[in-house]
Amino acid sequence: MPLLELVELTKIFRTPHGEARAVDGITLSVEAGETLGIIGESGSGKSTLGRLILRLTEPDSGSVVIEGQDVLALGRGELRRKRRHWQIVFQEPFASLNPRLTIRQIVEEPLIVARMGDRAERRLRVLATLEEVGLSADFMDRRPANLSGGQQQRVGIARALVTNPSLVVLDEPTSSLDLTIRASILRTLARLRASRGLTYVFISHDIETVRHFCSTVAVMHRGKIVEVGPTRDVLIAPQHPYTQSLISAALPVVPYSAAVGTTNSQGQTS
Amino acid sequence: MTSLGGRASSWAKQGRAWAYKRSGMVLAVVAAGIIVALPLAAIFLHLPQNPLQPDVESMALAPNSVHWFGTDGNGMDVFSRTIESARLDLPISLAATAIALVIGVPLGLFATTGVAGEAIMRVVDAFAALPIIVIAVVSIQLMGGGATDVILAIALVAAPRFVRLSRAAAISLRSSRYVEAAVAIGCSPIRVAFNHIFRNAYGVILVQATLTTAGALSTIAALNFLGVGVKPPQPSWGAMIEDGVSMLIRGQWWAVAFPALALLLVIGSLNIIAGAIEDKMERVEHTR
Repeated sequence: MPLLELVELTKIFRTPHGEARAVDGITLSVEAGETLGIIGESGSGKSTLGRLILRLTEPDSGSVVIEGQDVLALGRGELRRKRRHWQIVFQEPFASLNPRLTIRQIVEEPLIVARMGDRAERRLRVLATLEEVGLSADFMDRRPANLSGGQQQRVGIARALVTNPSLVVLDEPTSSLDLTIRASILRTLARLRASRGLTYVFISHDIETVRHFCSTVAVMHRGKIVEVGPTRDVLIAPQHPYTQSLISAALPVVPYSAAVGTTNSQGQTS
Repeated sequence: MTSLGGRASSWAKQGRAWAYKRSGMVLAVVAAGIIVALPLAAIFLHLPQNPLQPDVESMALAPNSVHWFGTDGNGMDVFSRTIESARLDLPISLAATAIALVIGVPLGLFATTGVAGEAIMRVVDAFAALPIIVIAVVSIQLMGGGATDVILAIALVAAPRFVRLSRAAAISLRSSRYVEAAVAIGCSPIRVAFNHIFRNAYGVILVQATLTTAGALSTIAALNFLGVGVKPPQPSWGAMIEDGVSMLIRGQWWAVAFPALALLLVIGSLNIIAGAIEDKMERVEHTR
């Protein structure tokens, strides 16, 4: 049984200019331990899809089943109690952290809300989780504004993982970070996936990141999945014309000109 | 030498920063002391003259050794009345503000969506459309007219502003990423409202609370003028100023000046306290 199953999921935003089908009849399934990459350009509806999976936005139709549980059938209170198993890491790390709270308060809150452990146990768990994401105990009493972007995102990851969830939606977790920090965050996420057996839904617009990080990839275009399959197959031999154009638009890891060794008259690689 | 000089100047800088931080706190403590001491003085201190006793022999006397702040048009001692005013003025205005906060802030935080939210806002709008004094007079007449009723009436009139302020904050912060994150970790609506929205919005609410307290002092005076609530000859600063204004034209400034100074002192103190609280929170946020 897949860990996550979406059937005909649809979200329509109604604006004065008409309807926008942000997510249009998406059917997908993700096996436990798998990492599904969702790739597409801005406005393709991939972030909305991530929010629909966790019911942070209510869909117009379709169904979401996680671990055999129909998410849309849950009452408000039941849904809140289930949230600790299904988590999300947001794109903008600083904006997603309450500036008034300390790192300790931020990472501890999911435990308090889920009524997990007493004070002492929670403290130990926060410490252990921070260490797992690569932050020392020194960070406990600091506030988000005093951390770098990478450190802030590590706090966001710690908050998502502290309750030991089974499914984590990663909504472009590295797209606002420097390249070097991006790689180190991705390594941390990969390590956690291996050690905790996590299932990820990884939303991204960066083909290279998806290529290295995801076992399966779904290509989204105007609210629809145009192509889905094992990452290698989809990225090496794309079937759909939109996937082909997406891949050809991506910057190659080794610039073409550098590989061929041509320069233009100004001495710049072209 | 240069390194030594550099270190000394950095010490001086740190010293100044320390003094600056301390001065804010000291000032706030002094301000809080004034707010607490004035009503206590009115209640426990033996005033030099009876503040409620008119005296036809000594009307409109300038400040002298017997009447330190002079006497008013009825021959009552201005000093004693200025202190005595604090007995009712301060507790009433502070309690009214506290009640307005307790009613208004939760309503505003939750009245953001749905039919209930709309209904709350329409009631608030209706209240805001009526003149404050009319509401206060009517509600005091309905309730009786003691100090408790004045407190409730002023709270009722002040609460809509807190509803609006906290609702505006709730609406603007609700779409913020960290509030969405709070929902995603399973926080209840109450927890989201207080731990995430109110915590980031109380600066404006605090400032409004200071203004409300100051406004309450003048509402007490206005009610007094209309003959409801605090009844003469029981003094209030607002009423003393009101009465004293007619003496100004004859150059008899003291009947207005001293209660006005007391009012100024109280409002200034409240501002300092509010500023210190906000400052402390800001500092907590920006330094480790």
